[in-house]
Amino acid sequence: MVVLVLAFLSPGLLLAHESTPPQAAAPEHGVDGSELLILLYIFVLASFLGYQLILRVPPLLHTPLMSGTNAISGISLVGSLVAAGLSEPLICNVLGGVAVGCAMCNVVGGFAITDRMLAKFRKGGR
Amino acid sequence: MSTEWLYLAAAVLFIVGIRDLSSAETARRGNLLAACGMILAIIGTMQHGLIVQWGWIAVGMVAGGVIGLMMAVFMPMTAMPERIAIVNGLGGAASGLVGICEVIRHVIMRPEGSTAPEFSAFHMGVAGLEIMLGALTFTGSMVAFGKLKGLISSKPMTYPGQNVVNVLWLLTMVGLIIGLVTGDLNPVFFFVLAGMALLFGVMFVLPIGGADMPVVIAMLNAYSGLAAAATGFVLSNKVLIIAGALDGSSGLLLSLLMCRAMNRSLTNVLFGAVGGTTGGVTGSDELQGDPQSISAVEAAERLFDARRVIIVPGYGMAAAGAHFAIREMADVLKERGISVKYAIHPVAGRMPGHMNVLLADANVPYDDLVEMDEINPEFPNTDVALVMGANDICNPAARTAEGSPIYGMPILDVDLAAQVIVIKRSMSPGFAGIPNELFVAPNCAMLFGDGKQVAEQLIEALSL
Amino acid sequence: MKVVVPRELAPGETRVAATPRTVKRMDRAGLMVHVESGAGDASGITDAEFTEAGATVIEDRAALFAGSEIILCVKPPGPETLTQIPSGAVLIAVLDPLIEHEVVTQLADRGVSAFSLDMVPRIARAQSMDVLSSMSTLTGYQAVLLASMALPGIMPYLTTAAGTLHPSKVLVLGAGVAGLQAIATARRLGALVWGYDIRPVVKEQVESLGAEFLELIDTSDAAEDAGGYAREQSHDQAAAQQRAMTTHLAQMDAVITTALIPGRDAPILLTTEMVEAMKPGSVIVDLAAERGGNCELTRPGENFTSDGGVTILGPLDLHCSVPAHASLMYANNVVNFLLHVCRDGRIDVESDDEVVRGTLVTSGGRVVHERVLEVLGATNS
Repeated sequence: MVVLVLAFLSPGLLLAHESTPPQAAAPEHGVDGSELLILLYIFVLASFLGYQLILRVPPLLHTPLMSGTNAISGISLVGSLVAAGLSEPLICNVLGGVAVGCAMCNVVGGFAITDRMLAKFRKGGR
Repeated sequence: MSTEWLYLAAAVLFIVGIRDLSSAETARRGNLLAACGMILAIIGTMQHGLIVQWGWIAVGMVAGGVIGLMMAVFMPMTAMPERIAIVNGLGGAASGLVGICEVIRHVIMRPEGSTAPEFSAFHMGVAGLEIMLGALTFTGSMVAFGKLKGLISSKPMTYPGQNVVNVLWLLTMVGLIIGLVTGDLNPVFFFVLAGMALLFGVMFVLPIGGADMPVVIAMLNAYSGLAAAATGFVLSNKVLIIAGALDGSSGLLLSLLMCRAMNRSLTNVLFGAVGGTTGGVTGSDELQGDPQSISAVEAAERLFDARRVIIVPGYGMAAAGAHFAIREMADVLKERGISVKYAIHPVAGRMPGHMNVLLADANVPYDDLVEMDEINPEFPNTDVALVMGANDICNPAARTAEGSPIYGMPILDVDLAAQVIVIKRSMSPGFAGIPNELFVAPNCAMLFGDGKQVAEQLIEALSL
Repeated sequence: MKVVVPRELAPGETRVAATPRTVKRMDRAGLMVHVESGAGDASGITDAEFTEAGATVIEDRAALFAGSEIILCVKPPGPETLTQIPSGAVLIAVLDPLIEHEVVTQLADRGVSAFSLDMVPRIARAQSMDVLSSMSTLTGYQAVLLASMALPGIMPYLTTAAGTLHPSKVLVLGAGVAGLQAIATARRLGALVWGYDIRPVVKEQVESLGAEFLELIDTSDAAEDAGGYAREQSHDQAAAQQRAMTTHLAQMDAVITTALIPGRDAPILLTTEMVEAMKPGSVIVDLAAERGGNCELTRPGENFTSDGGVTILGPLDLHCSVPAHASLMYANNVVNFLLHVCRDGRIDVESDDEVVRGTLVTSGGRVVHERVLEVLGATNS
């Protein structure tokens, strides 16, 4: 599966070398070759890290872990906030607002559900 | 710059949070840490230069937050997988929408003089990925929700050649992305891609049986993570990339682990139903409906809330050598004030007295063993009936299905309990070789796994 | 209907076909139960207990049988008793019809409709009527106790100041009901237990009781027939099995054999050579003694020690040594069967019901059971 992900990335890797020269006026899209490479390093390292962290999970915790990482995937909230808060165009604000709503559901719901699942464990025991 | 530092702190909290989620004692703390990380990431984003108006943000956050909270609090705990499915789908939708937004901003509206810089070829590529992954996660999760809730038939929906069609569809989408990257295709094809991806989510999940949904949800969770990572590449946002990558790889590995715990391969779960080669879990065609499958954690929760539990041992318990673990589990339940009895059916096991011998060996007090005629009237007052490797002796077909090999045999009225949890290795039939209607009853959930290991997991969960 | 429970006259028979509990059940079903005085003595049930449960106790056998419609027995009635039974009565007992041809013919000639409980089909709903299972449970348990008393040592592993007592090694041949119960009992006593059966499906069952399955050679083809009983092996299979077994036998302290084939003589599992390979002081308990025995040296009904010092026990009717429970189980089997076939106050001998067809041996003056007819035909031709 990691191989598949890397395969998806390879077109991107190839293209990185062809990307256009930096647009100095755009601080949020300063994609030059070296910055892109750094982002790719980060992605690869984070992927392996994620893999390693899960290797020894007992089957008991599969479901809470799934729920918790699901909440983390609500990080798309970050992108949605930017889109919703732009000065223009309006269509982006609207789409962004909807995206913010969706992502908030994911984040708030996800962490709350996971907490409820795990809360029982503490209340119970000796 | 403080945005970057906050993002760094958030990333660290995510990593530590996931690490803590892998261990029973620290799990709850891990969840809390990850949530804190998310808060930091949000604060950091608020300081982003591009955000100038707050109206839409406020509306979105309040609406989403309230709905999310209500879902977590008000939906019943037994509907947990459904909830996870929905919120995951929404997360995917968010990524997809952001992708569309970026495409509109940087590509489509450019000629009209948008202030956004032009997209490089790389950006086109990752935007395409983001849209594709986000869209298919959204619809896939909704289908998963539908199957779990019974809105869509939980049986695998297949047609011949389905896997080929799905692969071709996927390749076409990848081709679209490549075309968009090289600039050969008009940007309007981003919307075509979005549409195809929405459909693909449905096509991908429909052929998977309801009992396998937990694995599918884990995979879709990984995809929504990858979608978020792709967003990170589009926006050059490091916390998106890190969180998305963590989520993506851990999600994929989790799906593999869950499959292994069910004793099946991932390809079998995802593609196995096509051509009728289902591996065991969804294999019983004669049952009306698909069994609901839960994890040990969920089972432990149901046991927590119970006041009266009846354990129904069968040959499976003997074969697994699980009688000692069962007795320990019963002890833990008793310490919490829960009443525990064992219902011993006259022909449970493979010899008369089979269960008695083993349970005595495990030091279960004789008083806890109750014979069938005495315990049957108690099932309607029982909160949880835990069936451990028993099959024919609690199959309701014995009451009504004339012509069934077990017709007329007196059985334990397990189905009359409020909730039934069945611990079994797979859906294989018992000694009589027939499917068990109890397994698809609405109040019944299957906990697949080896009897002894499952019992030990339950002990661990109940002892925390 | 008048239901009659006579005293068992066969020598050594300690069981009775009814208990106070089953009398109550029959009473509730509207049946009038008459019990012969002293019928329950050997099982520890007094006439008073029967009377209290609702039965009428009768002293005179002729009066007992007069006008009887259903007769519940353990062993079939002898020729003398048969003359007292009205023609057309229903008899429920254990007839062993595949072997006891004379009895079957006598019953047919007398016009008695006879059901034999050892022919109950092995289906789920008939398990409560299965006499063979019930009795095997008891004999399997008893066999181990006999073995333990005949052994020069004790069964469990003990480490003491006076030395270490190593556990006895017990091998159980045949893992049916009796075999499995023997395995369980030997385990409870602390012995090291091995189980063996030619049906490989049984391996898991043996292991589920904490014993080891003895792996010999692969004789897996169709070792089990449709009724779940073991099929007779071919000569070659048997010979190879014996050779492989001998090495294990040399280490065993006790061997319990339980192999029976319905309607035939018991298969020989232990040849004279195999017994000679066993160590002095070891014990063989042959539960198939009444059918000739699984061991070549078995003397049915006797216990003796071979020249090589091996004690060979050939008990008959071992269940009779625990009459209280044997009667309890047998009586339950009987009443479960009776209440199943008796509807609206009569027994329909023409019924298609699987249980009826499987157990009805004679009716209307002739033998009606297929398998019995086959066997009778074979011996007559």
